[in-house]
Amino acid sequence: MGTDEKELKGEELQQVFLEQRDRLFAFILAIVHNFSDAEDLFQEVARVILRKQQEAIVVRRFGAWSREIARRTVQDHFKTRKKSRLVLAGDAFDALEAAFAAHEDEPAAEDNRLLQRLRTCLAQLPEHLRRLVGLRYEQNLSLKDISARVGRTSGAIQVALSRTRGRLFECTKRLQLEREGAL
Amino acid sequence: MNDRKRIDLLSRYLDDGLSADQEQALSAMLKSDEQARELFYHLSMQHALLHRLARTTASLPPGVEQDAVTAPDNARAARGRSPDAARSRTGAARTRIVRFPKRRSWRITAIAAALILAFGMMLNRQWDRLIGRDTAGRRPSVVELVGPASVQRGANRFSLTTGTMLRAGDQIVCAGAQSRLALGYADGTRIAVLGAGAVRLLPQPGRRLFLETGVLEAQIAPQPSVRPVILSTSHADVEVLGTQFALSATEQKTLLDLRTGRLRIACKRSGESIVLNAGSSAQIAKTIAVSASPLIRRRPGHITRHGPVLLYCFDEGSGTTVRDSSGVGPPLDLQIQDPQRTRWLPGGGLAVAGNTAIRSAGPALKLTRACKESNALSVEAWIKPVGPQMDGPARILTVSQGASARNFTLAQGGGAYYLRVQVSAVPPPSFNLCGGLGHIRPGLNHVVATRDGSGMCRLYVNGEQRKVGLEPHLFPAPEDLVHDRLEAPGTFSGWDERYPLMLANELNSADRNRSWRGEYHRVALYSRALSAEEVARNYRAGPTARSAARHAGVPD
Repeated sequence: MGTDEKELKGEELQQVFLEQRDRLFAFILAIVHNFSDAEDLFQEVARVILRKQQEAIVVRRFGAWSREIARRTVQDHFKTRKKSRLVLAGDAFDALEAAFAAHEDEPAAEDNRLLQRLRTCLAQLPEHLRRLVGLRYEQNLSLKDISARVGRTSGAIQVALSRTRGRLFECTKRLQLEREGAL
Repeated sequence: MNDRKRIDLLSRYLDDGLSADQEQALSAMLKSDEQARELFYHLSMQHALLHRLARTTASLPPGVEQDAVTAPDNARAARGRSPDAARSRTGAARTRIVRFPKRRSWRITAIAAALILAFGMMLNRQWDRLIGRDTAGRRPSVVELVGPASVQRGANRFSLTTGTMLRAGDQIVCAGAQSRLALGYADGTRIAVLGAGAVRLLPQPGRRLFLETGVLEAQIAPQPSVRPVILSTSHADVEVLGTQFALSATEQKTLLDLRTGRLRIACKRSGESIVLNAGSSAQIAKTIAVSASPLIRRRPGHITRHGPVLLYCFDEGSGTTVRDSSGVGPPLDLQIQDPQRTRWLPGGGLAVAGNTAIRSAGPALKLTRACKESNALSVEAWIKPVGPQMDGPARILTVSQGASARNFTLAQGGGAYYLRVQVSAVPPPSFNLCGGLGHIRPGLNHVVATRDGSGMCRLYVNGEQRKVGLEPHLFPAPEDLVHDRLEAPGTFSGWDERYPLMLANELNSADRNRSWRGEYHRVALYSRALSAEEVARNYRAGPTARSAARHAGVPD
């Protein structure tokens, strides 16, 4: 039985939240792009969940429930920021929700395994792509900033990042299949 | 649409780099294309985990559990916005949503404020518990663990791992005779249980530990006089205001060796109380007996783990041998292979002017074994490079077989210092950490690279901890480096016991273009991570300290 079919309350709810925090953060980050905003919003969502735990409410589908809290929190956030806007709205947002919902039943331990696979795959990247990943994720630079740093166009950086993500995705998939004995 | 195009569009979206047309294309794709939705999920997870990987080791305050909450909290710390500040911001937000009716009496307002405050505190405490944060800095965590250890918490018993936060009332039990468990507090206080033993964290306020049995070694950071650290045994209470000492408890007696500072001991039976000075020891049973010589006999393994396992002072002045003066186990002397390319310096030190190597005749077995046991390492070198730019990177010292097979290496290249260390969770040849440009100073440099039992690597230059990054780093300028420490995950289990210690070059003749040039004044290698305080003390002691005892970690 998946986590989302269980009735959760109190400590159990807290535990599931801790287990699924990466997925929830990924969901928020997928909506808002910006790491700093995503971090702040995640904190807010975590507080709401904690408050619900205090109120001893019973949650039946944690994934859907927590994403709904995230959606509302994000919408409130964008209302107060006139310069920002949600790129994904309406049906497209529903599609994002559906993409995450499709993976709700995967055990949370899989996220940690993915993290380990990513470590391995990162180490296998060519040096210049590792540097690029470092600039984007370690130093949190935008495409424009990376472009200014390395003296190449934003377009070139974008293409390189896209290929790097593709390589990492393929690599983690391959390691997963190897682990499952499929290769 | 093929996967490459899908990934390209999704990647642009994640980087906030979509044009208006591309936004429409993305929306349409997500609505109609199930494969695109699947890819979106995977790329989003990858995106978030890459962010977490990049952030989890950055600038965490001591005592915070790595996995307790998320990258977001770590990143907040890295951005200089403290979690406390975040709490207070959101705490303010909570307060704002409560609207007090106008013209109510001040009593109602006060009661409401008190209730809100209490509720806020309760939430904050719960939040801290949820994320494992130690707001008061009084809860220790396990910072080093070798061998089996468990904790009894209420009715539950579970195994300890590095990073576990402990609570008042916990009983910690170390089972192995060769085990070592170190507890660390936020202020740098470190208390280690050596070998088999049992310690309880007492529930009274402040930091109070009860040593039931075993040997305990403590390094206590300066404490406020009103809140000393109190270590108790069945015979004695030891009040500590900041010092280093070892404590041993059996059923019959308690022994204490004081290394630095002063502390007060109270005998529980006689009620007698004395102040013990540095260098003194005491036996406490029915009364207190003071001794001028150490009373606690530690096993050789523990001594080697504490002091340098290898120590080279370069004070020979002539000849082709550099002696190991650590006094630990069989000496591992070094031979200068091309003496004509080196020169002994008046007053101490060895200058390396050309491509040569200084190597041990045999493997660096005692160091390798000690490090494999502790999974920790400190590499300390007093050196004077001929300049900041050297290629290779040039090997200051290395325990390796060649450029691609090493246990660890301290090197200099591209104007920065590097630590390379082989750990089980990183694909060979090694985990690579680099310091920043500008860390290499003209004149003598005191360089210390450490890796503690929990995997954290740090770099110190001239007594100060420096920011570090992962090598190869595109721009190793200090402002580009954001990490105070980096995690080299795994153990030293893969270390090869056949590798010798080499100075100034690699062993393998094909890799001899890693030649380092400059002056060596002192090299010390430890099978534990020196603390920042110890590094600073060693820096202040200077390179000409001829006695090993002047340096940190050397037992009395």
